Amino acid sequence: MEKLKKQKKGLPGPWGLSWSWILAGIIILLLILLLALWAAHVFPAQTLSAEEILKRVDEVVNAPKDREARIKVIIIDSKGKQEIREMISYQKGSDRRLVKFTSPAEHRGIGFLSLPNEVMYLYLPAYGRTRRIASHVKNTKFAGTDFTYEDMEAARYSEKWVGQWLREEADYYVIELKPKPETKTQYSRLVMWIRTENFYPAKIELYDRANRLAKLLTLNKMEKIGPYWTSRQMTMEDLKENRKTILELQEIKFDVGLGDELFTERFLMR
Amino acid sequence: MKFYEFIYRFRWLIVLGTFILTLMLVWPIRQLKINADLTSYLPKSDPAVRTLEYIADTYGGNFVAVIAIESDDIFKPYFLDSIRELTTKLQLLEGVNYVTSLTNVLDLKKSDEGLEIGKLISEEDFPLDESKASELRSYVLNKKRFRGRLVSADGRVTLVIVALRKDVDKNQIMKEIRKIVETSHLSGEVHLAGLPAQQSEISRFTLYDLKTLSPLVAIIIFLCLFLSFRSWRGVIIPLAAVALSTLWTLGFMGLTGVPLTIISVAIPVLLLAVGSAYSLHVLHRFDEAPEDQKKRALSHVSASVFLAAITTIAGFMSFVFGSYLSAIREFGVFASLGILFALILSVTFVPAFLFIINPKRLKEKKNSLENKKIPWLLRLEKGAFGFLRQGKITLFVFLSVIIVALSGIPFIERHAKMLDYFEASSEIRRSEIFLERKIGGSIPMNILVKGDIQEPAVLEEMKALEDFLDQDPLVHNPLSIADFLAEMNDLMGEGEKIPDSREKVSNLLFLLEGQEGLDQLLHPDKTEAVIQATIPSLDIEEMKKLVERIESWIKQRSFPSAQMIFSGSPQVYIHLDRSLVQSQIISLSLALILIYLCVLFLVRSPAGALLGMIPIIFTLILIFGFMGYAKIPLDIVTVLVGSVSIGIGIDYSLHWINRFRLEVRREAEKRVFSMTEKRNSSILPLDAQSFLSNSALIEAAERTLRSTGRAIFINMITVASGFLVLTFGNLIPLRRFGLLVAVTMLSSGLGTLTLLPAVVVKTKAKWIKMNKKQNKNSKSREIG
Repeated sequence: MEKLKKQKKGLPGPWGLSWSWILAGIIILLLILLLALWAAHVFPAQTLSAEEILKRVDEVVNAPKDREARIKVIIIDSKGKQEIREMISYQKGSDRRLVKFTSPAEHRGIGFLSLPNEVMYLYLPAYGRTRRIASHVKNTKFAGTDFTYEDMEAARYSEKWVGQWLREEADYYVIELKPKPETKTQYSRLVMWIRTENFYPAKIELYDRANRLAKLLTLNKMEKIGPYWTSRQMTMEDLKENRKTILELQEIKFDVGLGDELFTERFLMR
Repeated sequence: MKFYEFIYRFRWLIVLGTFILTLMLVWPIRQLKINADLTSYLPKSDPAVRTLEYIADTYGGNFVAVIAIESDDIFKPYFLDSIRELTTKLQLLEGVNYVTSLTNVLDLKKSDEGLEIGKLISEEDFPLDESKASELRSYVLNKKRFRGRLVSADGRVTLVIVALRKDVDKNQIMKEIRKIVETSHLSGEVHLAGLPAQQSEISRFTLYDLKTLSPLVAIIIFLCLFLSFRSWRGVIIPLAAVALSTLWTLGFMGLTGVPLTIISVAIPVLLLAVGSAYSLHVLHRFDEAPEDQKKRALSHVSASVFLAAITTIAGFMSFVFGSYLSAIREFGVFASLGILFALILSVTFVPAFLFIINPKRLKEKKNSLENKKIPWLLRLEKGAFGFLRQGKITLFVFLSVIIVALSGIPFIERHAKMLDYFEASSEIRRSEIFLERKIGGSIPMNILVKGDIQEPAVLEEMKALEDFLDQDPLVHNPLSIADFLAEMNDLMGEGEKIPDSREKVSNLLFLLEGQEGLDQLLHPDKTEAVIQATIPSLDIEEMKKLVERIESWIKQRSFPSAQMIFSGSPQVYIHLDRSLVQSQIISLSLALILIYLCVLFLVRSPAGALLGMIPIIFTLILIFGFMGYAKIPLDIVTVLVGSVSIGIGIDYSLHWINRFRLEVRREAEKRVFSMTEKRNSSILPLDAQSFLSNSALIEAAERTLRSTGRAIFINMITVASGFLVLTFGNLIPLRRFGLLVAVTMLSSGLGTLTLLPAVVVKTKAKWIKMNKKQNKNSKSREIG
């Protein structure tokens, strides 16, 4: 009688579970697998995560040990009026940079020095004096351009932003960057197009705090100089004010062995 | 006569065509815009307007709406947050040049961290914490550039300044700004001020007045007409004709894209009040005439209607040629057009319509006021007869009135202060006064500086002028690039003064470049800059003195290296005022000349025409004296009264003269007939006039009073009460206009009924003798 009853309940399986339960479990597992496969099909496999892409971008952009370049600054206002300036830029690593204007004559000698930990100095030759610029003016426009101090920073994106995969387009990865909680920025998010070929950004949409597309940065005229990829032309468009600034990099030299003494207030004043 | 044959034959077509035309013209009324921007009333070529618009175009200022928020919590984090939100939302509005508030204003300061050039509150600092917010409070209240400008000295009021593009529809944008303000959860009392706010309020009131007052005028006129004629037909037909002409006029304004102004808003009321008389005449004669003579009667009446309309149009046209202000010219054009429409409708549509309904019963006629023996009217008539008989006393009375009135004329004030257009209790006026108390005014004033702005000498001159402005009790918060440069110079360690070399200025400007707000002060070329300041609402005398003070100071200093051009609404108002007085003189003289010519055409005697103008000349003197004593200022609306009253008032004289001549002829005929017993000629021989004695003239004048006099009296009451409706309006100039025109009507009516007969009888004017045949000829010629 007892045996019969047990048999009615089904064959006893391992671990005291009935076979039918195990079977159900297998079926569920299979279904999950199927779902996963289907999902993988519908959302194509990502060989790289957004975070990884961002790290690669940082590596590529910051690959050179240092860089020296002449930069032509072309500012085009909403009425189409152009203004051209020239400066020399020295950069070492990602967090040291010195910029000196060379033209027009009335601006010659004006310089900016950025040091680690957001320390910034300004030099005005007419006063013969340097002044430290407070760090929190990063959203201030840099020298009448459409680049803010923040935009000019040679930042490591992955340090300040959290990347999120959006999609892949023809030759680009498109990822969205949201600020990390501790990051101080004027932007609510960025959308970045990254060249799949070399992980160099091609275009960045900059959204303001109200989440409106405020500015657009495009990096054109890609060139490989030595082992490094670089963009020779950066255009920042202010979509609200309908003006833009083009930075044209000339005479780019990488790994010239810029000394630390270059990135001091003393050199800024020279 | 042929004309009315034509109308009779095509009566259906005319009525139908009128309605189709009306339907076509009603449509564009929807496109009608309102323009309350006083600066736009001056011609575009006016130098004051040109500089004003140049500054608006180049520096974004001059058309500035001010949102003032009163609260105890101005420096509380949540409050600042909502200000920031408001600022951002307003910046997004189409048509906004820039917005300045605590949350985005440019600031320069030195902190432990170093030099800071940027916004007063940095974007990243939001949301502010409590301690930072209270720090901000003491910082802002201690900084001259913010205290009394963006925040009141007591720290309880803060401003959000919204500069608008000059070409933007101010009403629309103010509506949007209001909506944003209402939905912005600001804890505190919000006041909207500034010229654009005032303008949009004027527009709103204008539209409201147009919508409410026009029907009210129609009702009043309806009542007056009904009481006078006791006939539905006698009320509805004139009203319909006038309503149609009003619609046509508004339709034409819509079609031509001419906006309504606070002046032209009077047109519908004007047409209702004046135009109804034309079709009334036609209707009257139509009813009077026997069945077979209706067309003949009509052609007779159209002559006098034609003349009445022409004189009125002449009054309005005087503005077209005599006024510097475009709004007044437009008023002249469209008021004339409206009168022309009323005329055309009363000689085409009204008779055609009458032919169609062709009433057989005319018994209502007996009920009409003109033929009734109403005790108070009879008593009035007796009074008028008294005036007539006691010619000397009449002349004496009127002469003394004229002397009293004349002595009032010098007291006429002149105003173009927009704030005075609103009632003292109106929200906009209270807001403005509140703002004046707290901040010192909301109206922008600019001084355009031309010169090499990077040159320290020029900057020193700018600073000197600013210091001078700062000491003026009426001018508040002067600000220019020189202030920023002095501050920057301080930050660079050389003290708060203008940098001592051109290179330094150039260096500093390089740093400031691209900062929000810089382009409001400095031209990108650096060859031009503005000094901004604000002033309260001032009346014209205060403005004149202010402009004089500033301009003479500028002249006296004779800046060697820069040219200073004072610009702003004071200039525009002064030009407006000057042109008002000019307009008044020119258009009045023009109106008088044009109407003199019209009367001359009728009476064919230069002296007679002059006599016919006695009532309106009396009226003019009376009205200006009244303005002087009643403290009604000459403004852009009351400036119209003179010519309008001439144009309308002359009708009474013309009617009276016409009838009087008829009565004289009859009287003469009667007397000649009784003497010779066999004269039966329609042509009165000239020598027959010599038979006319004083008593005969008085008899004729009395009969004129009894017939035409009554009609004049009724019309006078009707039109005056129609215009008095305007005194219920929201806008003060329109109220004054209504009151003044009502007074005008009464004065020219009464002048015609008392003074004119007395003078005519006293002088035994020769022109009365004019041949009847001659008169007839002139009439048939008019009909064409």
